[in-house]
Amino acid sequence: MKKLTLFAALALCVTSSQAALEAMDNDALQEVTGQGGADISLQLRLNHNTSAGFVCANNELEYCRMALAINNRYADGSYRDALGVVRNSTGGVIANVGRKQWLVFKGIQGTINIQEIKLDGADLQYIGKLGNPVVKPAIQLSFDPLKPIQFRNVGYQSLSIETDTVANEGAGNLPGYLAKGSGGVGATAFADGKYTAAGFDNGREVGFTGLNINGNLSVAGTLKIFSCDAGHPRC
Amino acid sequence: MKLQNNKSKRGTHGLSLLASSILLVLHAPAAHALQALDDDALSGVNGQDGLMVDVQYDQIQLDRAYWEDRTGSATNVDTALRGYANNISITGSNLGTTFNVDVNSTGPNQAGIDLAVNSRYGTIAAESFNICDGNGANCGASLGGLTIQSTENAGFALSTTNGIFNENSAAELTLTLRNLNIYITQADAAIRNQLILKDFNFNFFGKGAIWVDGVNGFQLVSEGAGNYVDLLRVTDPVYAGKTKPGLSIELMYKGNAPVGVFNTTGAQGVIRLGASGRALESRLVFRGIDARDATNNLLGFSFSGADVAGSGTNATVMGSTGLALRMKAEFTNADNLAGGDEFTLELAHAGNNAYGFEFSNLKPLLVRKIAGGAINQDRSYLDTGNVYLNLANTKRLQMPVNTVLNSARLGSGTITTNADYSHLVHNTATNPNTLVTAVRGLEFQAVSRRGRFLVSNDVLPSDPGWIDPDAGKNNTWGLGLPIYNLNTNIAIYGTTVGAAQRLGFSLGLSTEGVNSTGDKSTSIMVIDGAPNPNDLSCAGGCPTGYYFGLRNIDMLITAYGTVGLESGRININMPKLLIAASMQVAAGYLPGAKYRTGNNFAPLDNFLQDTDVLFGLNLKLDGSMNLDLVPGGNTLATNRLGFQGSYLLNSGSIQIVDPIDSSILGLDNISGRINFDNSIKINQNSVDFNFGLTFNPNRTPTEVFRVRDINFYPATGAAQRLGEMVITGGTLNSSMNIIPR
Repeated sequence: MKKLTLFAALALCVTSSQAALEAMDNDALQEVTGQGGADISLQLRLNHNTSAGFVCANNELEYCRMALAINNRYADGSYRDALGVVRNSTGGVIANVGRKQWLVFKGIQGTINIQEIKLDGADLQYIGKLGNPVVKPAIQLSFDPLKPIQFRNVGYQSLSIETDTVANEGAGNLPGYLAKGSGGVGATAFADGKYTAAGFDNGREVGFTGLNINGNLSVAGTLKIFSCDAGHPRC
Repeated sequence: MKLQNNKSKRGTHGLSLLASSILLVLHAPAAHALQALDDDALSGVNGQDGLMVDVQYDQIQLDRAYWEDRTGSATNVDTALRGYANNISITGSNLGTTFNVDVNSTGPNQAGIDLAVNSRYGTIAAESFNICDGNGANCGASLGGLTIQSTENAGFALSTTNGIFNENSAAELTLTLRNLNIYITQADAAIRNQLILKDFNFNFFGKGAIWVDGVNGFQLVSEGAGNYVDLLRVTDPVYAGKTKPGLSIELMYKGNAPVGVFNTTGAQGVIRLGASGRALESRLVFRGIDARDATNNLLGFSFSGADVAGSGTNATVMGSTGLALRMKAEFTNADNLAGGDEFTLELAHAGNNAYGFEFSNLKPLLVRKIAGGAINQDRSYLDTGNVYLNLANTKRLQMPVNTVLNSARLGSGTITTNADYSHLVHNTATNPNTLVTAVRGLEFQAVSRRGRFLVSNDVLPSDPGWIDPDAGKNNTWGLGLPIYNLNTNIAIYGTTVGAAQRLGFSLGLSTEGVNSTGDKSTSIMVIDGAPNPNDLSCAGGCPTGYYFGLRNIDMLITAYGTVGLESGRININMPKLLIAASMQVAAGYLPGAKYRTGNNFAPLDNFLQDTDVLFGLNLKLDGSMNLDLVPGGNTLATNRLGFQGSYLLNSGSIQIVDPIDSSILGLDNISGRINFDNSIKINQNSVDFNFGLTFNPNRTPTEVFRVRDINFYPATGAAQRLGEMVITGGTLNSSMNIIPR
């Protein structure tokens, strides 16, 4: 089976940005190709207002989550085999799978501001599978290092593994992705899904790690995206 | 001769709408006795070899006029239905029509006619339209009211060289409908909401031949050397020295209009479409049809209200009578003007302070027809395919089956099955009588190689944000929206929700991705067309043919629901909306284009090959949607088109497909509710796409956005489940701005 070519088909050519900027002469200008392209700016905000502040209501934080359940992960070790037969952790046939386990990203959020991408067509040259030079049309994305991609509060507040309350998502199940329980003692005591003990994580949703990215990504150079067909040595 | 009539007439006529209107014009009995002309008067008569008739009237009123159409039924009986226009009136001052008739001779045994009709028709209004049985009883709810307001006379001129309808006689036809305001009115108790076509133009001149054929019906043909069709730009009635497109459709919304008052004051813009310029090799065919053909059954058999299909010759949806038309035209482009103005299309915000686009230099998809040969000089074209107009009584309509979608993998089945192509017209126990418009095989094979920005005529050079009308004529970016084999079924009927009139509708729409030779496609592409110094077939270098976008789009959309004008917006409520599509995200050179580097040419069947494809994209989204189209504001900063609503997805799938071995990463079995607040805004030199999505807006466990199966499909064999994903809620906003260069 061949690899999915989706993102494998990328060629990143980052040029050196250490040299001082110099005026382009007429010859150099004539070499600029693809003047019929477009300049694109894109801002994406997940659970953020326009100043990158978190917007989810404090009493309904369970509705600002993303959760993943890996196939066949149940609390009791039960699973569906390749034929769809449900088995327990020792391989015996049983009626239903157990309680589903979820990897829950709580308080997921972020603002990503791509200030400028120049979109053009371009010819890309590479040496093909047979050693022959290949000219390939490609999408060329150019970035301005003075207009960096801005990351603001990108990440999640807590990551935790939560479990459904009823096996096989039966009646009355509270799914793990909406879990908002109470428990723990001392420093790990929590209620309504949030830590209650004094400390840095007081009032935060229950979990074992968080992630918060802030920064500017300055890219100088071009990114060419092309279809990686059978003539390419990697495809 | 002058006839005057000071009486208004009222009565019921069993005539077609067209016949009624013609008769109305002539229906003007003399109110004064004729008097002999004396010699002095005779000497003052001009145009002594022709005939001039001027009909004047003060007002015309008509209770009902109808169009009768016979339709098949689920019980296998061919039945008459009638579409009625009720309470028709023609009002205004100095109403009338002038007829000028002249007979000419261009050679022995040849006599032609010059007919010029100039109509001063004021305001034509029909209070309501509805569809009834063959006796004019059991009528459905009104489809709304229609009012046509003229500020200029309507003109019709026909000049022939040999007879009136002669296939071999050159003829010229002029039809001028300029600056009309057309109001479609819906009532909601005491409130009247209007959808307005403001300053509608159809300013037409054509050279060719006109005849009536026993089989093919009425033919208007403008083919061969010297013949052409012009959509001539129309002088703006308000802003001196400026023009509007020859075909102009400017949709405006006006809420809470007083009963019986028709003006555009306070109307807000929705969208404006325009077309102008010269077309060649054009043909219009208009005929009646008998569709009692059970083996070649275009819209399928009629279904009863209980959703049971009829069978037999008299059970076809279209029945024994109906109307059909087909139009075809080839567009002139910047390299081939044929002596007229270049054909251009406009897409813009409507109303004042409105930016827009003009698309021009319309070319076919293939840059060359022979590999490495001369540049393709063919013209791009529109062919409407067959357009059928019928009254119908059925619960379902049939669409042509798309084999690509019927074979694209989804779970253990396919994206669509044959059952998806029989779409519901409504979901109640009794069939409403409907007006069905069906299109089969529409093709718009045109790629605009030059786009530029426009601004509405009211924005003056002294205003900030003005765009010079000649700016951008050397732009090298373009947009390709070719359409191949588009089929639609549109059924409409009147209905009410509470006290509000609404328009019930059902829609089926499909496109085909690419034809077998790869020269026709359904795609949405941006074109980078800067001069290619490596391709000197054209002076200064031919345009580079880089394209990037969605190509080869096979698509099926079916929906039913109602449309209402309410609360300052156009509401479209669809209890059922299915979108199924298969397409390719691709970048490369247009077929036949020469590379900028080396001596390579893109293959002529480039759109059949997968060398340009980044990935394939398959979609199936089945759910319900409540959609509002929100008109724009009245300033350059606020005039935009908004889309707001709520989408409840019952069963969805989004798949990324490897173009080479067809392995798939699938987000399958998607469900949940998403509210959206999106807008498109055209600016002075850029376009904004703003999206605002709210997942699970009601914050309820049953409406979380859930991808129940993340599947990996090997090149062959069944889907392998990787897991699942849930987004419990939250908002995702995106602002994108694109500045073409």
